[in-house]
Amino acid sequence: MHLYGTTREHFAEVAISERANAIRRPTSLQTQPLTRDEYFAARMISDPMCLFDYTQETDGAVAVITTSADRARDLRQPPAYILASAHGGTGRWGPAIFRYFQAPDDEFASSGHRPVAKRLYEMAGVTAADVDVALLYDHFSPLVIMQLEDYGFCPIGEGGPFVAEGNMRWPTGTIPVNTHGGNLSEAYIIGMTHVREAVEQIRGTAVNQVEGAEIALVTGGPAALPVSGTLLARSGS
Amino acid sequence: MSGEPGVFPRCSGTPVPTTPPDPSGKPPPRTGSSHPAAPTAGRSASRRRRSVSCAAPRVEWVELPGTGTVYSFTVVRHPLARMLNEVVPYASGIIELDGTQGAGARMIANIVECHVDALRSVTASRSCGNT
Repeated sequence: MHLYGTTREHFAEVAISERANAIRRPTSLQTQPLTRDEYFAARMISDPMCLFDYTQETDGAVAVITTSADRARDLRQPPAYILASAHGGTGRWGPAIFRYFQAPDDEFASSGHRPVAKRLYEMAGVTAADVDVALLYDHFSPLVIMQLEDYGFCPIGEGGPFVAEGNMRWPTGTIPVNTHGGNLSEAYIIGMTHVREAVEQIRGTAVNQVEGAEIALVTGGPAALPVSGTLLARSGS
Repeated sequence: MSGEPGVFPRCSGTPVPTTPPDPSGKPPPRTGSSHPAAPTAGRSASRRRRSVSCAAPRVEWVELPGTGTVYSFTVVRHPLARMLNEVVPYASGIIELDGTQGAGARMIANIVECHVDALRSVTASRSCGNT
């Protein structure tokens, strides 16, 4: 916010956009739309973040079966191929929020994911422009904005205006984000619902389906390092 | 505490003489540690046995003026534990210490003797870029 002029209006757009996706799903804990007025009327938890910038406590579980491409070919469900997967993160980002507060400004105001993004795109031979849907770990709404920057969907520092322009909205945005409603509005299963949603998007069976989705990005935890990311694809080649 | 609205706080400190650690091994108050070969890259506000930039085991103690600017802060309004019921709202911030030669040695601290709503207005003016 200090560096780039990101505002609470931008946080609100993340929360409202994810809520709009969530209420279309029967499994979602949140069933009503979130209005801008409701967002700004919510109690402040830790300034500048209010109630709707946080996840909700949830009980739940998701199982994922990982196998070889050869075996997956004959299974009942169409596979989602792993194009790339990486663990890592900006070296000083994790400690920067716990005990070492000296990360350079542009690392401090980031999600710590930039090295993971670079490796993912290199491994897969794709760019951000090739990603059709992004399932970004959303424990706190500002981190969604910073991941949009770090994964190259918009320039660094421009994530706020980028979401304000509707770019993360399903189905009209340039990169629909958390089409399931995310941790913020569907359920907080520590990111596993993001993996499930990515698989459903690739299979073409998602409730809020991105038409023709070929490549889905899933990220895990801007948090103590390592953080992680995965690219899933409809095609295995 | 200082830092003008709309201006991102920066250290403008002048170099300070280094002081050796107390022979007893106990560092003097308000000191930081730095790697002698990379004094600006590795300066840290905490008492460390190793350089924060390269993990070298050699550090030297430097005396700092004990003042700084607010790098970032939050006003906590939700008591995370019962014992904090009477404490909220309170402000916690990351303070960039003066005299760290642009390395930005920082420490986390509660910001006291300052009305939290006054702090919040500083955040708002920064966020908007002016006003």
